[in-house]
Amino acid sequence: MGKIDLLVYNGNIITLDPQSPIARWLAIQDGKIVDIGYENEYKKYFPICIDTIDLKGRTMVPGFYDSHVHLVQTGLNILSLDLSHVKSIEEILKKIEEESKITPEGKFIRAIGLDELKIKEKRLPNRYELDQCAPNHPVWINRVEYHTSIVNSMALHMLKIPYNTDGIIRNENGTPSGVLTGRASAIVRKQILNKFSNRMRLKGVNKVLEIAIEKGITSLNAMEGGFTFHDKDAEFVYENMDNFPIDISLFYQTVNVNKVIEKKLSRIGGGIFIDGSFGSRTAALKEPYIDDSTTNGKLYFTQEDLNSFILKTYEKKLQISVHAIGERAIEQILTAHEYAQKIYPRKNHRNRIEHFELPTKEHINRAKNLGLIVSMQPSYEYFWGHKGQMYEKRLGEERRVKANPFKEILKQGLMIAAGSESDVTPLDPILGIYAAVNHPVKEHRIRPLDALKMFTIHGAYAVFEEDIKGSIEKGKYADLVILNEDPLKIDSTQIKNIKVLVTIKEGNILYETNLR
Amino acid sequence: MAKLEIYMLGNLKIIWNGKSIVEKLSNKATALLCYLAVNKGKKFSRDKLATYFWDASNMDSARYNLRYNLWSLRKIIKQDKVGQNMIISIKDTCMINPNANLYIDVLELNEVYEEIKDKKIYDYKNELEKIKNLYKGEFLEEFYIKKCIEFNDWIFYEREKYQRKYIDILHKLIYVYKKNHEYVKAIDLLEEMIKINPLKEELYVELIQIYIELGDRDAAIHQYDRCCTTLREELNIGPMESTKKIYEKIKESKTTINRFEVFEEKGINLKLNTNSHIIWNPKDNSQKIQKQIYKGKKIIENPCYPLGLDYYWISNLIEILMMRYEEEDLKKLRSYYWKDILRIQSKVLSIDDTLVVTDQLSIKTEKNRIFSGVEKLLNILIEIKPMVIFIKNIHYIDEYSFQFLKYYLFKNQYDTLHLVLYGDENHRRMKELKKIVNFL
Repeated sequence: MGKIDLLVYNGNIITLDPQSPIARWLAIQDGKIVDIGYENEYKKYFPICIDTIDLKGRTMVPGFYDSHVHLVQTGLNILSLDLSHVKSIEEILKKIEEESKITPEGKFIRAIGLDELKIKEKRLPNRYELDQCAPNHPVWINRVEYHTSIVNSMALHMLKIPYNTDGIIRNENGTPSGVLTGRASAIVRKQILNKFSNRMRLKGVNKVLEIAIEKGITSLNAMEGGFTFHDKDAEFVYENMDNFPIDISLFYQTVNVNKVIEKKLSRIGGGIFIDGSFGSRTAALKEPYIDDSTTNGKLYFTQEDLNSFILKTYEKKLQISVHAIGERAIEQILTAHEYAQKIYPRKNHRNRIEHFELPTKEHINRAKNLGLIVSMQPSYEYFWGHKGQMYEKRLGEERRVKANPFKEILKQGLMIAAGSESDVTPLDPILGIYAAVNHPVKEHRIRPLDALKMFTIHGAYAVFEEDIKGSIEKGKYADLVILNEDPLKIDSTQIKNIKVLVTIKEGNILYETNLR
Repeated sequence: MAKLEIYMLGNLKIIWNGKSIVEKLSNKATALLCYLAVNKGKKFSRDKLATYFWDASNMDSARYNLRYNLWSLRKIIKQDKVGQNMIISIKDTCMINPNANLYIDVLELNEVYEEIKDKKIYDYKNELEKIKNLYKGEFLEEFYIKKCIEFNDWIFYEREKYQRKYIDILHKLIYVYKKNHEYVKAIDLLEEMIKINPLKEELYVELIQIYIELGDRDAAIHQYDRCCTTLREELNIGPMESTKKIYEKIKESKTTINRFEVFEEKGINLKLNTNSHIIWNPKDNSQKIQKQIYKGKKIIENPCYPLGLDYYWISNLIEILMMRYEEEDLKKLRSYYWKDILRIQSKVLSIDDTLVVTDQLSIKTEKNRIFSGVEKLLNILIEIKPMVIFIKNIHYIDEYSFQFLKYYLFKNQYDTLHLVLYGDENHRRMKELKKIVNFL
């Protein structure tokens, strides 16, 4: 045996290998775990190892998976001006003016997160106001849900808008006010994102990956392209997949099956929206929203259209994943899978439903019988699931307590792969584990070990990688995380305070703090 | 005579005496000139112009700026040769001289547009094409003046006005092209309109209908898929029910697809020997030399022209074959085949004047019959003597004749027919033919 690259010992290594769940040491060579054990046999490696880490009893777990990340948009949003906390038009204009001072003339200033209902004037700024604060820059503001754009005159001038399209809000003199909705916003959004260079995408993505690595993420599923995003994002990830410091599995958000086949991708989808979200009251519920009885959300596909699309993915043996949040959307996607499986029965397809926030027991059972995997975001419960938070406001108490029923899902044997849906919630598996263990509704809480599996081995399973990653076993890649506390033993309310000390990807230490 | 030409549709061009002067003018002077030019003959108060282009809070400075810019314009655009000033600036008013030698593209567009408005558009194809060619891009594309609100609003207003006119003209032209069976032109225009507004479902529907009309089922399905993908990815919606119904009809048509398509599908199993008998743009494109190479063979020359008339090329081919072969050879083809060929070439009557076309057939059936007749004729003739057909400008071939060529290549395995093709290598048709030949 040649040199050992890294020897880690004196640790509390949670392997997630059912044969030997806890180890004390492991040896890494050429990016893989070549030996692992509980006793003192590791000492034989001292003379031949290049680097060592004495864990001094600290905990090591498999590198985390985040199974749902909008990688490029998270990156571009980091580089954008955040207007989610502004209180007035004046504050918006001031922030844009400040941004214009640090942005080269003629370059787009992009701002995100604006919700006019949260500001004093209860209206969006107009083109003329934006002209005054940034006369030398094109300005593009995205409303919080990304489907409304506000542009200044210079931006409007640079864009090629078909004036016969819907969604151009106009001034009294008939000229565009700068506020664009629906189709007009979609066209403008596409044109502007098209102008964003891949260098800018890379800058943003690098920042996101830095954060991911600090949080212990060694593999993530990037949901890119398609509706509300841009295919250039997907193309960027596709082109650079082998150049990132951690593993990225691309989910191309398209309904064009041929496109992914031509690219020799084995999966399709991710954020293909069967319905919307609770926040925007567009998730498709059975009963109306509690704070707006006029709507029970939207289904964006007819059953026939969805059946036809899902069938095509079965025909081509692709792994398919779609977004479904409300009961009606979950019902619709389950029906589509049932239809497709009758025609193309297939085992081990690992098809997924993303979010799956409000399933019934019957839905869970049907998903299990269909062999599906659900990709869920436990942090939603941390930010929205408590009394008085968004779920209760939109859904009412009766439905709030039914959301994200992790325990019931696991009880019925349906696998959960977990993620953040960054940047809807932050990239932070520890927070996700905490949120799942401390679900605001007691009967939905799960054990820390189950939560840990959701962010590791189940994440790996959900992209056909459980043979090479997701647990700490001989022969697998050395994707590892060292924590300052043991998430299985610490008081569950303290899990969110656990710190990542080291992130190791294929034997390389990508991040280290306060360890040696 | 000195002439001022201003082109505002697309990137701005200002030409004085045949030379570009844009680079000599300041942005504000350019803007002022464009504004006055579009409003040719209309008098403006100098104060109004001053506040339109400069900061109204300082009138003295605004007036001075106007005066200075008018002066700089006059310095470059001097009087024309008959002594007419381009810009008339008297006391408190200012205007473009309506009698000066001046060309403005938008005014021409307006004039032609008004001339044909509310008239039967089929009679005005040339005018429609003229307007289409005048519109080189958006009104004052890439021209923007910072902190000049009213002027910029005026640009937005005019931009929309001309874009709407242009789209209206494109719609009308598509209608005319369809009516004249100039489908390729109609397709090009629809693609141009999709570039302007990719979310307009009706445009895809029109494309689908044209491809159905052309009998190109695969292209029609491709357009439907393209429409669905675009709508789903940009708006997360599906197509309208009416669009879906059209698609269903295309799908159903599988059972009655024309013979060409059947052969195209079966083509995989047909091993042809024609590959080496099709020559693409021979390096020595002197037809004289090429003809020497094919000495001893019957040489037929049948070039293509950009006429867009259905069956034009086949019809010509029949005429040439009838001239070049003996009547007794031609009569080897059974009369019921000649009857079908008569549908596209009336000179067939010179072989048998008793032939009459009586039955009304569907487009597809008619096409199948014609294809079959011409195929049999060719096969009889090449048995008598090997034949070489020289086809110049193959990219101009009409759609039906092109389909016939594909049909013939798929179905027939004779090495007594050679084709020598000349044309644009990058053209869709050339590529498609190459694909078929390579495939075989």
